[in-house]
Amino acid sequence: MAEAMNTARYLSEVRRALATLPATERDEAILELEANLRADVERRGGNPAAEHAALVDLGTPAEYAANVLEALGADVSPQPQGRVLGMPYDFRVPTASSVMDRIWNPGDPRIIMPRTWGVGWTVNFGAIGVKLGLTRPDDVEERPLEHVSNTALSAAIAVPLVLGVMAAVLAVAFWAKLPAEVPMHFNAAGAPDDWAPKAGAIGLLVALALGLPVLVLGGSLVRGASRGMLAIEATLLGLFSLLTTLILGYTIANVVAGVEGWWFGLLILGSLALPGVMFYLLARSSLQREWSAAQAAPSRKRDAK
Amino acid sequence: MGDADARTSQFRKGAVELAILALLADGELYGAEIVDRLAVLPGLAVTSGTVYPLLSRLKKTGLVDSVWRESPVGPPRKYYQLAPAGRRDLAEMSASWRGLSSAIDSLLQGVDTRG
Repeated sequence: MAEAMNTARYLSEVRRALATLPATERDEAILELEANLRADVERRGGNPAAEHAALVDLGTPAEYAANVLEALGADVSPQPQGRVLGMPYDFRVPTASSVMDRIWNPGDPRIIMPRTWGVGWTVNFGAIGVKLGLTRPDDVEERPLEHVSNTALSAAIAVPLVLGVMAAVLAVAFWAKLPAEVPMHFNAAGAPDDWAPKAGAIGLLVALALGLPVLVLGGSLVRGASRGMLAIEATLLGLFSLLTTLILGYTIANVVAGVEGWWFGLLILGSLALPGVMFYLLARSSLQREWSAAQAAPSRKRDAK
Repeated sequence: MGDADARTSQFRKGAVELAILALLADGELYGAEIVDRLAVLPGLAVTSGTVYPLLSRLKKTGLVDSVWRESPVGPPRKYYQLAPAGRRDLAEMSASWRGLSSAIDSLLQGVDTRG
């Protein structure tokens, strides 16, 4: 029976036996085991005999999994706080980890996840990244996006700000050409069905597109928020600014040039790709730097105690 | 016999958790080192199969942190260290352990273990 039990097979059997655990916890436990096992094998000589001995010490995959289940118990896991009418809700204060557990969680195969804050669901771009082969299920950081480079973080913060400035420039450039009343709402065919005074409607869109990112990111910078939190805020505000800027642009194009079409709905849907792309690039930057930091660290001085 | 083993193993897991925290109070260690240090204490009788899951648990509950460090040979290793909450817990747990163990010791004195 002991034929060819290697690390990969052992890990996959433990993973299967942990099917009842929430995905993030299961991945975390497997990563933990893999790291410890690798160090143990290498310490014992790094050959197949060492691998075999290290695996024997762990017990069978089923025993090991039983120990994990017992140790982790049934407590805290990234589940929604509760449900109303079948809709998940969560009003706990979001943290970088809780946001990333739902929005960028390559370790969880579910694409639709309970929201981090509020009622309803959100998209897990990490699962899409895995399906597209862009990231691996075990590309999970303990402290999400904490190692992201200065360049990547600055670029992420620039996204909502640049979009907001674009909205302001558009509004100023076309102000004189806009009638006193501008469309406030469009139907599915992309035709306006509600109007409002331009100062209010255009002013509100610019305030949302530019003012909100400035306020939120400015506040976080002053507060000294973690890099991960800043990167997450920049990404979510990026989507928000993109949406408001698109709506502003379409409103102006509709009034000034008579542009109209159902494709606008698609454009709005398509803008959901922005946070996916941003989270992917940020997570990649952070993971790469975490690894290179580990490799560059001075080798540890062993205390002979 | 099997029941006695299961009971001993329950005792041991609580104790091993405390032992891991105590070891880490002296400085960070990687998983296999923790197993080695505990394995020389015959009463604890631990294996990597019991220690690693407990490390996962201690990490999840925020009592220990882990960091990657370069190893002299091979890939980086994951080192464990006490988190501030772990340091607090260690102080509390060791106090209650001492109280518990002296209470049980005095109760067990004179009990016929073959009974």
